[in-house]
Amino acid sequence: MSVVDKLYEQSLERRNRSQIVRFGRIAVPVTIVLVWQVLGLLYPGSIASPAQTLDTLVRGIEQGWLLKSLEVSLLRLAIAVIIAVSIGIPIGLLLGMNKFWGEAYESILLSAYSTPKVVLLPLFLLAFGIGTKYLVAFAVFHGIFPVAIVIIGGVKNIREVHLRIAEIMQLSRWKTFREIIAPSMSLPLLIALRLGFNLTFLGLILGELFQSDAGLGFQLMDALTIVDTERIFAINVVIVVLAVGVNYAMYTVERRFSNRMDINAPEY
Amino acid sequence: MVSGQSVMSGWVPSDLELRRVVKPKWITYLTVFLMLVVLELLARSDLTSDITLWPLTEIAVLLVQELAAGTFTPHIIQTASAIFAGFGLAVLTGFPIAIALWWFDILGEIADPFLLSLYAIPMYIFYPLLIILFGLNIIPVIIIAWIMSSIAIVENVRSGLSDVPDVYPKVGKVIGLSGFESFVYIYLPAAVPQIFTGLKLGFIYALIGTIASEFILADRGLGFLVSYSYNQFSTGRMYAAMALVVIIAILMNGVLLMMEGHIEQWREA
Repeated sequence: MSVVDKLYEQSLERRNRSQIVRFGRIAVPVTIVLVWQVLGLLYPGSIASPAQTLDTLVRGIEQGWLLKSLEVSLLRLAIAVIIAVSIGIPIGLLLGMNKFWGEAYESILLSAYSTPKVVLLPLFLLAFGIGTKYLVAFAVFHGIFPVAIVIIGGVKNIREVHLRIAEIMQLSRWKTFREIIAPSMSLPLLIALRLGFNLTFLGLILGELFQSDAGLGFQLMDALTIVDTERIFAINVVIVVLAVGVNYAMYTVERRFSNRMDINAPEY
Repeated sequence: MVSGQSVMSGWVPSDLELRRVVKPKWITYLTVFLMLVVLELLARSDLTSDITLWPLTEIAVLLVQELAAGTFTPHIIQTASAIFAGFGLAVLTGFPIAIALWWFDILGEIADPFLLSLYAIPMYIFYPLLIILFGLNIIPVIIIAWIMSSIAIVENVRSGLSDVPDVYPKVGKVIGLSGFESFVYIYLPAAVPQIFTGLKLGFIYALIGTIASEFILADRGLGFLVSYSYNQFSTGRMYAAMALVVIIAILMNGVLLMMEGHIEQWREA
């Protein structure tokens, strides 16, 4: 076989493979929905089928509670994410750039990240009272640590070679920032934003599940008390779509930046 | 490069002089100590009422009393059981899944976007549903811990196996190892650090998942103890349980870190 034949064969294989992958990626959610529908028919009391869930969602929008809870939760989430990121990034930058203080406090950050911070929730309630303030504070508390940790990692990964070159070329601080630091930090920044969003959301949901007057988590617990399975399914769908949607969007942006990095970097 | 100096040291005040006098670790311990002192003084001052914040020393005393009296024991047992059951299940199901996703790369490619989504979803949203399905007992807690733990284990085992440099299995082929043998003697050992990271994270998530689920709603457990005591206005017991959870979490983290250190040493050898 000639080289051309071989190459053609390979490109056919690749195309077949990507077709299989695309088929698989559609098949998985379809199978899940089918299994879900079957389970909903088998256990009508405990499981709401996809059809019922869709119906509940539509009714929820008409009755107003779905959009209202979504609005309340999203508002809290947005505020919390902004605060968490605004605090987490500077902390990460400072601790990343300075080896001494970084070493001193990194272990505290990592420990805080891997403890069940939820048990401290009553402290927030005692400090802020019931309502949005404590939820936002609690969510921020969850979001700060991953942001700082990722940013520290990002700063540490700035290639020393690049910084030395900047030094040799006697670039001003602004120029060094623009040409070397900022591009190097753009991917860690995006990852930090995504993780910050995820964990802030997690903290908010936990708080709303435990003690809240409104919002998605509150609706979940409210539905639980009267065993309103359909509402539980509907809200779960909303939350999953929200979480996955935001993550997917952020991840697509991340990919564009990570490709650029690969072009630059032979491994030193 | 001068040791101890960050390359970006022109940007932030130099740490070289600090390092001659003080070790970073001391700052860590000093900060933690100062925080504890501040909490203690704050509790004893006029700034907070007696019912809201208890002094740490009193919390410690109460904790020892409750532990000695055995009132915490059933909860500790429930929590520990849930954590280990969840983690165990995650290991038993996670390893086969991870290996399958790695060995059959088409499966892995198909599954990639879904695994990423799993990281994004706050799993606690399924807890109310699980309570409806299985009742208010330890089972929903175990399931949540299992799910959260599995995600970390599958992710890390799989990437650990796929990060093994191509050279290693090629050597195995040269020696004439079978597929299974090369898996056991080449891939697995090479992937051990990342696999251990997965196990470490898996355990941590099992712990966090258990405590959080118990806190939201449960019949027993340390997380339940904190939230129940809060709702009953038993502030002292709440703080004692809180302190116990934090202490256990920090201890477990420390143990896992030590184990990680030993694995590193074993690798060098």
